[in-house]
Order: sequence, then C-alpha cells, then structure tokens
Amino acid sequence: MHLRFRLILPLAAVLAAIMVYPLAFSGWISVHDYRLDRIDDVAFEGIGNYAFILTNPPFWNALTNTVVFVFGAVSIELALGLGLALLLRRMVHLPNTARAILLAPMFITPIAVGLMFRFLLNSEFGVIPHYLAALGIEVDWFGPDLALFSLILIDVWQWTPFMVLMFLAGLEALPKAPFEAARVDGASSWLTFRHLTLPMLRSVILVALIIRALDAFKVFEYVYAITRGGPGDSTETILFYIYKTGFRFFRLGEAASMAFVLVAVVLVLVIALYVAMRRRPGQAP
Amino acid sequence: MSGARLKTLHKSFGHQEILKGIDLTIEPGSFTVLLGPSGCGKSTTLRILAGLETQTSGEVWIGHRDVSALEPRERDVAMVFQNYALYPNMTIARNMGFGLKARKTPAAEIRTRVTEAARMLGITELLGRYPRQLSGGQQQRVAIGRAIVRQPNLFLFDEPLSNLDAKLRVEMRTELLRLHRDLAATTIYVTHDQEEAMTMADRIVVMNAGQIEQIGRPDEIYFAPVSLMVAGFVGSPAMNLIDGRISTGAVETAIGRLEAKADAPAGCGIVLGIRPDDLFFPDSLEAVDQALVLDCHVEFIELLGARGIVTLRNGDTRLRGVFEERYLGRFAEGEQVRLALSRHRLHVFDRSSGRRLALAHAAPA
Ligand SMILES: Nc1ncnc2c1ncn2[C@@H]1O[C@H](COP(=O)(O)OP(=O)(O)OP(=O)(O)O)[C@@H](O)[C@H]1O
Ligand SMILES: [Mg+2]
Repeated sequence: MHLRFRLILPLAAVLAAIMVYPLAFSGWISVHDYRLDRIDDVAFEGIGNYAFILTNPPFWNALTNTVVFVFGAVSIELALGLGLALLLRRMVHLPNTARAILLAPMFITPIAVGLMFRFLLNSEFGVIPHYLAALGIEVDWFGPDLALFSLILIDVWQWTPFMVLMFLAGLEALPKAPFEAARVDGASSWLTFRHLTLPMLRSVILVALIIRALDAFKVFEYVYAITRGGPGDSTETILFYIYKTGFRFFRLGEAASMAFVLVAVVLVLVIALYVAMRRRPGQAP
Repeated sequence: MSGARLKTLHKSFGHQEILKGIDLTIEPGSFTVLLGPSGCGKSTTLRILAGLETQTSGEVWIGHRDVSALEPRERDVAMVFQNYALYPNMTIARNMGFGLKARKTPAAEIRTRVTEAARMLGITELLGRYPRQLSGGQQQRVAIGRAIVRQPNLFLFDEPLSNLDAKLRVEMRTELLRLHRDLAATTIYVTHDQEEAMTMADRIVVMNAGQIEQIGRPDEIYFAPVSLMVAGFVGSPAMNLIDGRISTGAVETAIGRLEAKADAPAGCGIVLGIRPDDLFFPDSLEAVDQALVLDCHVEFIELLGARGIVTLRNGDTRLRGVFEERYLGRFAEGEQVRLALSRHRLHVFDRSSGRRLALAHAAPA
C-alpha cells in the first residue's frame, strides 16, 4: 500500500471506531425489532419501525413539543440577545463587569440549571412563586398549560448570554464609518438599526441561530431534571421520548429510527439556514 | 445656502488639547480649504462642525443658528468621508437616497434627485451595483453624490481625494470645482495636500497644532506667508530658509548682506525665506530690483519636464531653485553660476516667534 494511505490509516481507524461503527450499528438497529430485554431474538423489520413511529401520536406530540420549544426559545433569545448587546455597547459605567455577570448563566451545566429552576419555580416552596403570590399572582409554572413555556424561559435564561456574546463580537467588528455617515445623513436610530446594523449583522445572526437551534433540538436535561415529560406528555421532547423508548422501555429499534428521523429534520433546517446565509446582498438572489 | 462660524473652539481628548481656540467665519457660497500637517486637528474641526464630535468649549454656528448642542441630523450638513463610508449592504441608488429617506422624502422625489445627481457625476450605470463592486474613484463619486442629493446647508469634505491616483485626483479636482460652481454651495474642504489647496480654494485656512496660522486667498498664503510655519509648509519644493541676524540698517545672512530695514531691534535672530521660483539670472531682473547677487556652485539638476530643480551651494548654504527649461541650459553640474534675488520676493521672519517681519529696502544707490 502506498505510504500516504498507510499514514491516514490510524485516523481512519479511529473514525471508523467512534463514528462509522456506532452510526452503522444504530442504522442496523433501526431496521430491526431490537429490544434490550430480548437481545437474542432480533427480527428484521425493514421500514416497519419507521412506519410505526410516523403513525404514532406520541412521537408527533414529542416532535411538535420540540419544534415549539426550539422556535420559542431561539426567537426570544435572538430578540433579547440583540437588544442586550445593543444596550451593553452603549453602557458607560462598568461595561466589563456587566458583561461578565450577564455571561455567567452560560457556564453552568444544564442539568444543574434544571435542578435550580425546579426548586426556584416549585409551586409549593419555590422562591419565585412565593414572591409572586405576595403580589397577588398565582402561577403554577409546571402545570399543564405553562410547563413547556417554563422550560423555554429556562433555556432563554441560560442561553441568551451566548447570543449576547455573538452579537457583541459582531457589533464590535462592524465598520464605524457607515454609522457616522448615517448620523450625518440624519437617520434615526430605528432607521439605522433596520437598514444598517441588521443587514450588516446578518451572517452573525444566522450563525448564532444555527448553533442555538441545533442545540435546542437536543434539549434533554431540563426535561429530565424537572418535568420528566409531564404533566401528561405536555413537555415530552423528542430526545426525552427517544430516551424513554430506548432505555426505559428497552425498544431500541424504535428509538434508533426516531433518532434518524430527527437527524433528517435537523438536516433540512441546517441546509435551509445555510442557503439563506449564502445569499448575500450584491449577488443574484 | 448659509455660512458657518466657529467661535473660540476648544477640543480635548482626555488631557490632550487638540484644538486650542479656533475662530473662523465661513462666507456663504465660499470654498474654504483647511490645510495643515497631519495631526493638526483638521478632521477634528470638521467632525465638530458635522456634530460627530462634541467640542470641549466654544460655539458652532451654521447660518443664523447656534448648533453647538445639536445632533448631526439637526444641522443639515453633508459630509464626504476620507474613506467614503458608503453603506456596504445597499445599492448605489439606495446609498445616495438614504439621507432623503431619513428625511421622509417621497420615494418618487428620491428617485428623481438620485437620477439627477448620478447624471451629473456620470455614475448612472452604477446605480444598481453595490459599493464593493466599484473602483475607488467610482466610490468617491458615489460619496459625493450622496452628499449633493441632500442639498444641505453645508458641504464638508475630509480629504476626499487622498485615496486616488495622481491622474484621477487632478480630474476629480476639476469636477469638484465644477460642481461647486453649479451648486453654489458653501464648502469646507480638508486636505494636507497643498497643491489641492492652492488650486481649489477661495480661501485657505492654514492650521498648525490645533491653531489657525493664517487665513487668506491662495496667493496671499503663497506670496505673503505670515509665519515661518506657513512659509515652510506651502510650496513645493519648499521655500529656502536661511538663518541671519538684524544689524543696524541691514539684514546679515549667510549668503550676504541685505540693505534693508526690518522692524525688529538690532541683534534679533531672523530667518530669510526665498522661494525656489524666486532665484533669477541677473540679466532677467532690473538692476533696481536686485537685492543681492549670489555666486553659486551647481551641485545637481533634476529635470521635471518643462521645469527643473537645481540644487545650488553658496558658501555653506544650500539652495534649491526651480527654473524653466529654457534657462536650464545655463547650468552645468560642478560649474559656477551667478544669480540674483528680487527685493520684492524676500520673506523675513523673526526666528524666535516665527512671525513675518516687514522689510523696508534702502533707496537704490
Ligand atoms: N477619538 C480620539 N481620541 C484621542 N485622540 C484623538 C481622537 N481623534 C483624534 N485624536 C488626536 O487628535 C489629533 C488631531 O487629529 P485629526 O484627525 O483632527 O488630525 P488631522 O489634522 O485630520 O490629521 P490627518 O491629516 O492625518 O488626517 C491627533 O493627534 C489625534 O491623535
Ligand atoms: Mg484627518
């Protein structure tokens, strides 16, 4: 064998071991009736698992919950992050301290954040409901109507700082001169934001959206730490449902096929955002 | 169209005082050039006029309004930035129309005015493109176009031609002057290129280290510089400067004794200034006008085309002279040559203060 092929062999072996093999194995599982409690009795199913999950209401419920979660969390984080970044840029006193404090939530591991909010928002002994009650507001944060929304708020609390960080970096990198020109041209702050800041920040925004959306699709820790999918199945997200099917009910074949469907959904999203990013002004639309 | 006024304008960045009391009146419709070495505060002055920077003290008036505390948008000025500062994400047409849009001008009118300005500047076919698809010279025109569609009180230009090549710069100069004539708009133009200043200005304001050295027409600045700084800064090649001293009834210099009275006490140190254009052959100068005759050694000759720069030495003093081609034949490197100075073309400055000293020549014998 030629030397250059032999040189890449170790890397190829590592990749095969940690990526190709698990992927291929889960692919294989997804077309078999593979149950952890009947591991010596595995029958070929073909597209049976896929056909089943695509007609299975709990799967669609989990997927819908996840999409609502991703869409809700990421759009609030985008708006809030952009607003905070713009405000932080104007801040005169202690700007670095403020930035450091604002970034702190990002450095806590999500499972800990989940536990923290589970206690903070607990309807019986949580601090937040306690003070809200003092103001005459009675809210059951993890009740059937609000639970998913509460999870969104927790995600917003933890990950808005990431958006702020991205947008601050993006804003710092923008050229100063066009903004001075806009001031002399008499543009209001809204017009400047709408026609200069936003378009010039476009690629940073899209990158931030992709990173956050991909991450939000994988939401698991908050659900696991707080609601376990409840009340009912109102906060059952796709990853939590996969986990439940595979590791609590031992139906790994079904779980693997759901994972592949999730990959397909995410892939479509990424490609859509990527195409949107490639389309820059100055080129044919 | 309106004028502008700066009243004892001061500006400090931190502890550093950049502008040290600028007083300046700009006549309506004039073309005023701010000229000065790098870092003297020209851009800062312009940015304060535009409202992009706030003065530490002093007042800014545009027309009959005190605009000292107003935002740029309330001042109604247009500025052409040194680096163009076009909006990168907008087409040329939108770039030019943005100021009008900001003032809520109807779309149809924006279109007419942009088209009209584009026609004037010859950039009609560029309107659909984006700034980065344009050459430096084209971006330049767009930046100017963006200023003229606004029809503002005041045009501010900050070294708009400094990024262009020599040929384009000369073309654009003419074009800017034509525009100024057509629009008759009050213009303040910053440059550190003295040739640009001389050719374009109605009035030149020479600045140095945050202060105004001299205000005058280009010919006044050139022929009667009020200070050593102005004399040395304006003119290319630079003025020859020769040390000397006042004695009773005469000025003693390293190249000879001038029979003339300067209004300074005897013993006062002076600097004699001679423009390179002001070295003459004795036969081309009337005897009564000859202030001094110099025997010089020709060191070398640089031909510039129709003219040449000759480097000469008189004793220990080196002089540079500019001569037309028909005189250049009279020089030969390494030979001696006799030249004369005209008494009307001498500049004498007080060495310690740098101020110009008046010179009264003795009646010719
Ligand atoms: N934002 C600022 N902060 C601190 N110092 C500044 C600032 N802007 C300008 N200066 C200083 O003020 C002085 C004048 O600057 P200015 O830009 O007005 O010079 P200029 O005459 O336009 O020079 P040039 O011909 O090089 O453009 C310089 O010494 C510069 O360092
Ligand atoms: Mg400058």
